[in-house]
Amino acid sequence: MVSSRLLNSVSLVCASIGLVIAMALLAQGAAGAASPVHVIQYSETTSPSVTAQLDVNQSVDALSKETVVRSGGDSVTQLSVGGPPAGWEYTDEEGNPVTAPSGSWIHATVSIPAVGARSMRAIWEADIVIAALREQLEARSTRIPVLGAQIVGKLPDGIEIPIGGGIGDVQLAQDFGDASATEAEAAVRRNAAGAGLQITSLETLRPLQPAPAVVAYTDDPVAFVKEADGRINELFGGTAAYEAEYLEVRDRAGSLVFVQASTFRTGVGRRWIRPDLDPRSPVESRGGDPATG
Amino acid sequence: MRFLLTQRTSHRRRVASALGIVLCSFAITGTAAAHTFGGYELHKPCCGTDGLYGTRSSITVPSSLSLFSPGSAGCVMARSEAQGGGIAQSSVIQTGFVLCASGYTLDGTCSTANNLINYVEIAQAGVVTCVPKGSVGLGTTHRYTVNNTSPSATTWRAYIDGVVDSSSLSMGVADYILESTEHTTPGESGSYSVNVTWGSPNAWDRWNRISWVTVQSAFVLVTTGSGWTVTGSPPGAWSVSHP
Repeated sequence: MVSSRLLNSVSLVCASIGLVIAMALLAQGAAGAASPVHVIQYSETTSPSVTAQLDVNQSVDALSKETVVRSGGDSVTQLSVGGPPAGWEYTDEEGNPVTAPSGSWIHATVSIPAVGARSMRAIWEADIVIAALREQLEARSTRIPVLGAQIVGKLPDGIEIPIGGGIGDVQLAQDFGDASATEAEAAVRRNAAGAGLQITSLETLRPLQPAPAVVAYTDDPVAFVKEADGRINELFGGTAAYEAEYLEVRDRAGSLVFVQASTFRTGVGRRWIRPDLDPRSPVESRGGDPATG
Repeated sequence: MRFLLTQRTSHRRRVASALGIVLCSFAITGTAAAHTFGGYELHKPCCGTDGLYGTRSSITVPSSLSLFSPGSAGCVMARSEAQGGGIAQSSVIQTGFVLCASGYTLDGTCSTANNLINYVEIAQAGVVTCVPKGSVGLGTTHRYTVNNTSPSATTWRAYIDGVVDSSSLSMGVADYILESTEHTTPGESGSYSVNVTWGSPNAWDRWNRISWVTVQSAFVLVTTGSGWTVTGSPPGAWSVSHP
């Protein structure tokens, strides 16, 4: 009897120790390996109403075409849903194939006048329709998860350049408000002086909700670049006040100074700064010890 | 966002540590507004006949925000990075974690709310693109990788804890691979404090298109006058701290 009780006690202690060890190992694993990813949310609220009025269950082709038309941009020539881009394979870090996750990629083709800063407006238009289409695909009765996006820029001579897309770990159904174009533009115009900008062009695209696109000039490019984030927030009335924002800043002579193209439904942010104002500088060629490494 | 190294330096050799590791230290300076760096790098020519086709390492997020603070301006990052594109160094891919001060962002969409997040950033033709990859926990360790495994050796991708991101960069062999911190607005941030550890449990590896090779020695990457301090060296763990 005593032996039995002792055995039970020992078993209980062992089980407890085992439980503690298991919990410790789990905790260590959680700290040492991938921790749960918490998606980024830019808007204050989310709402299914963002896509509720749309026929998200129509054919994917029709949905893609409708999304491009609704956005109001004119640079996206093709938007489609399919597999990964040619040559893309899901691999581990050694290049060995791994099982691809279930889902689709969104592909967009845009007309671009050139490579670099001058292409950013067109690429932003691709970013915003990709983001809007992703929302609708995820809202379908049979959900289509979106794994990635690929943008191809088509130059005037027909040469196609892969630009890359990007899908952030971002909350779906963010509600950025449903201001009319008139309201959004009036707000931006009111804020422009405070941001040190004089607006030369302003339009509002509508992939799902308003997405203002601004071209403006500044008398002080150095100050603008230095305070860019604050000036952008001032102009648009806060951080991520709209589902997407485009700002192209020029100097008095008309030269590009700064371009920001933000898409808060996917988290894709693109920024260009005129090289002479950009704190980055080229690397000078230099030697080294080839044996190092 | 600021990733291109400004180097007007010489580098001087020094014998480091009892391990006999040869470290080549060089200063990196820039304009008053230039970003600053602290960590290690490898550059061409490097590693015998091996090309620089990738870099990866464990990087541990500090256990407290007081050890990863950008101060009052700009952003602070810790990442794995590759650069290429010749003298202009116009092609860059990096992944790691970032925290920006209130009112500041990385490329407009990353760390917009003074939040600590994982990210992937790519630069090509002067346009820098950031994609947030979710929030990241204090005290956690992750393996951040950028490498080129494409059959044609033309495409770079990023991985966080072995999970490939959909972003990609067209670039062949890299000119530089880096494992470092970066501050984007050091001169205006007041006092900022950072202490990040690399190399544990996964040591710093470079990818030569056949296999991962543990880096045995590297060049110290510390911007002159920046206050960054590097303690320890590969192939072991090391930490980068400020001030």
